[in-house]
Amino acid sequence: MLSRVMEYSALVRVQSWARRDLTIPPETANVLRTEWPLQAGAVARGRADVICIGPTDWLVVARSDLPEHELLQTLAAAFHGGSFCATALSSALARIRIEGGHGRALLSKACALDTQSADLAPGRAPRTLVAGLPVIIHCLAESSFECIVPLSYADYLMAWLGDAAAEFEPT
Amino acid sequence: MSARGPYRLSRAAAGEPVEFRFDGTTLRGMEGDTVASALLANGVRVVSRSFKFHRPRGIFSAGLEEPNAIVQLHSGVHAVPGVRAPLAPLTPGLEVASKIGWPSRSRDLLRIIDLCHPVFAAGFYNKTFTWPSWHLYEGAIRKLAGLGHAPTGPDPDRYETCHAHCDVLVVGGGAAGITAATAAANAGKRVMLVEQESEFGADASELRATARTTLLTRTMAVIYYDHDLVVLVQTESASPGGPGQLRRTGRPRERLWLVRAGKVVLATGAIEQPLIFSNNDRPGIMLAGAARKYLHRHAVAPGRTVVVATNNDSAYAVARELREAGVNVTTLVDSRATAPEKLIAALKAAGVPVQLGAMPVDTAGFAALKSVSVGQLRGKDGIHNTHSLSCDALLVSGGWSPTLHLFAQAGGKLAFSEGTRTFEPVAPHASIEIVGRAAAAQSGTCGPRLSPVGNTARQWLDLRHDVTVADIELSVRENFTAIEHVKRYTTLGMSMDQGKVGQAPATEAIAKVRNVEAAQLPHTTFRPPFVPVTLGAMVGRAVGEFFAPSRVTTLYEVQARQGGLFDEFSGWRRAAAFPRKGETPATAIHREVKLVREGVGLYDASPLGKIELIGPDALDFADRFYINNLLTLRPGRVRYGIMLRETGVIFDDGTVTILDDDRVLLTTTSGGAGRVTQWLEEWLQCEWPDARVVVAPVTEQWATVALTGQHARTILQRLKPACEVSNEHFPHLGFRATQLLGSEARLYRVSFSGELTYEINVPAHNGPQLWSALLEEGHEFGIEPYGIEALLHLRMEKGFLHVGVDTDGTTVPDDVGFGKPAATKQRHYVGKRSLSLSDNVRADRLQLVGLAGEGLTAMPAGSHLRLPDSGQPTDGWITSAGICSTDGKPVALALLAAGRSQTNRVVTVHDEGRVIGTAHVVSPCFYDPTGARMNA
Repeated sequence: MLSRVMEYSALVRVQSWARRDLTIPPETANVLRTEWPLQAGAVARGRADVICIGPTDWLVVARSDLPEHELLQTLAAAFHGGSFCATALSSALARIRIEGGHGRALLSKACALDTQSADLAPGRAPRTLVAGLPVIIHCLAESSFECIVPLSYADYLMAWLGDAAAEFEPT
Repeated sequence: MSARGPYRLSRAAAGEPVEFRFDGTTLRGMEGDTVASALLANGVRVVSRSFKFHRPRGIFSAGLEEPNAIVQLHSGVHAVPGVRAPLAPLTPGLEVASKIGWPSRSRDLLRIIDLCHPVFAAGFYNKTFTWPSWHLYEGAIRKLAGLGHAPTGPDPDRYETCHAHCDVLVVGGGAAGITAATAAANAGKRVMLVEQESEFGADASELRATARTTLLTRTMAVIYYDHDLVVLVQTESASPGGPGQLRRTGRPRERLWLVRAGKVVLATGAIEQPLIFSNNDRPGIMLAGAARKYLHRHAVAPGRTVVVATNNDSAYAVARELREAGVNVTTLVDSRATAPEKLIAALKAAGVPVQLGAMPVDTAGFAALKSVSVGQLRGKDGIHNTHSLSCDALLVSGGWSPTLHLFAQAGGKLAFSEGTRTFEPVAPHASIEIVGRAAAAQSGTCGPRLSPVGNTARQWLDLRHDVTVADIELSVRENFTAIEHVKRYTTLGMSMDQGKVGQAPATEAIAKVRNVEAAQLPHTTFRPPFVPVTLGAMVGRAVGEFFAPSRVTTLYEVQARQGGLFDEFSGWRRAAAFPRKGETPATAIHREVKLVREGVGLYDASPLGKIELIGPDALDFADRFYINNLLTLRPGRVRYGIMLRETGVIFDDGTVTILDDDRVLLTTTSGGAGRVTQWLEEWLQCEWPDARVVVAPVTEQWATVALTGQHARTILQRLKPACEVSNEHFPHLGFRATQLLGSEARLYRVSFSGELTYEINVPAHNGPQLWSALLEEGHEFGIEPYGIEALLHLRMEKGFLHVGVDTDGTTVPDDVGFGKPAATKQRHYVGKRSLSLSDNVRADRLQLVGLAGEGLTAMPAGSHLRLPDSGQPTDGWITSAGICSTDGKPVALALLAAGRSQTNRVVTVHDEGRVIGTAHVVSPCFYDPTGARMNA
């Protein structure tokens, strides 16, 4: 089953310009109550989900109790004086939920990742191309995925996945 | 007519008769038949005419190697050309057509070409049909060749693409493949087993489809790419409702699998090779292994009186089994001097005499085989004791060639073996294991395969392309001796064959003509795909609305409600115009231009690229890319900038703004945001990794609305922004980060139209609210939305550069009037060094100019220009054009050779090869040259 996630979530991209000697400020773990993930595709769950999307690149997905301005302020305080910076993307990204037993088969039509592998196990969120679009696939559970996609492509991706899912619908 | 067909054996299992039509005649086959088996069962001998000579041809094989029975299925939008009859399942009501022969395949007057065959030797077409142009003849020749008809409309079926990963991919579901797959599955590997037929060829009961074991039938491995990426094409089972019905179920007609395998096991079997003798192509001559398959799978006999000719052991079993099924097998001829006693004894016991050391040398018959002449081999090149054997079917076996096309595609090396007379692997491949008959195609050695006597012009090596031994002789005589040259000269093994049938005999023939050992010759490249792949399978669902991704802004729906006429611009679906009822797009654009010039308009500029550079080195980093000096830029101000490639060619343009101490905001062209981001990242990661800056694209975070026209300020003030917007406090090229409508906002005082403009940026989800508020507050001023076509016209009148439209892949800053800032900036920037290259400072470079048309109603963009007394075919072209909104005259921007020095000269304007008028060369600005209006 496909659905567009409409509930509010603050989405903030965190990047660092320390490409050689990356040091995570200890305050970041405190404010989000989770360790900062360092392996691409790893997700740390705390007050918000922190998805590592590259060696010096993260996406923080907050829940409804943490608004964007508060998250930005919190991160700015934690990063103060360091090599990290935060950029608000709450309006720039959309989330599409895929639920059901055919979820992995559906994703295998859309992306070249091994959908049966540990790369897409629950709690992982690889960044890849889905239907040719830049997407982060957050595996929430064995049969539940959230595709985080640039907002301008969201309608297209919904339609694409809906069409691809046609063969899994009961006739 | 018997429901079973006259050549159906009595032992055929009970099955429902299936009616179908072949070239307009209604025939009956049986459930489980292929088109080929049904035609054979009905005694249809001539199934097509040959490609070049229009010789009658019959079914030759029982698999993908079929060279003759290439038929057309269905008609209209469901038409499928080029189908190999042995692979086409028979379905009720199926329409089958041979598509070659005029007026029909059985009475083909074009057989005259065969009667004149000495004239039509190899290379005839290439040598003859070159003057004045091949294309003059192409249509007629293609029609004669009977290549079938494409569907008459869009394909109604679905096609799908899937990715898969496995530890072991086993290609071939025969006994060897099943054994390999079972062993891998038992060892805990993720396994994919694929079989081209509808059922596995052996007992696969130990294998069960699970999450770790994928079993696919009707699936062909067609391409082996680098890194062990194998492409499979899976065909869905035939739909009972006929073509097009699968769509209703959502299931695809074909599925293209992209399989990334850890290891590939090739259990692909072997393809039987023919014997080569005069007139070895008559209907009724068939590969022995094919006859065996038709016998066991479909209970169809190849004929009533059968002769078997072989050079190896395998055909003995065919002869015996046919005999046991009640078919009259009169003789088995073996070109070897000796054969295993056990085989000979078994045949003799079945009443089939064996003639050793003999082979066919010629045949008789036309539409059907009548007899075969068999001669006794003497020495290397002699034949004696030739005698004729009556028969209506001749089964031939020239040995078995292992099916190693995928191995060769993967870079595996093959060499001709004198023992087995086929191509075999020279060395193992790191990722490929070959098992079963693909590893050992046959036991023992093979006898002679080529008749030493006979008319070589009638000895067919490649039935599909009508290539004979004589063609090889001619090729070598004309010095095309290398195997790849022979292939191209003669068309041997081209197209769908790719060395399946006849590769081994052809190699022997070439060796014989060149008087070398066959083992010294390589094989031709086995080009992928292994079998033809439909365009549908290749394209998948990338058709129609899914042909390419489409982007929309958060203002898409509100603009659609206001009558926006949408089109694709740089990957975005944008409103081209907002035509009112009764308006054409052209009149709507004209009205919208007037609206902006005389009143106020609203434009969705959200796709404008927006990139933040963040970090202590942000401004310094940005300065490395623009021809403009950014180090003097102050907060609150906007600077226009042009970005170059290393070559000095203009790459993109936009603005630069300082947001705060360590944050700079760049804007780019709407289509350029992605490539500029990649460009900056590439320099940052590869050249300047120590720069303390990150690149953060934020295009979609912001909705951008351009409020344009003389009332823009008044309307904006009514929305009560948290900053002063008067001209004094917020002049042209100003920037304010502020609050508007209760949300964060970024205001630009920039203009792409020449009119007073505020570009208002708010978080994208607030875009519709901003749009509505502006329309409401602007109502009394007649505000309306305008589309991108009007904007492009406005900027053309103003002479503002549109990168990618007014520039091409050679344009440097000086060509478009920006030579001075590019030259005076002291600091180095990307592309600067190239600007002094001799070619970039040539006096006759194409330069941007304005054109004022004379005696013209319009000057189409793309029209070429010529200067008086020019010796050049063209001196430039119009890049953008329109009718000036102030005086109604045609104006244009153009790139013209040494353009700036041609001011006031007259050029002729050429559209599609003819002169449509003249134009004066003028300054590239037709509106408000002082900029008073946008600075107001």
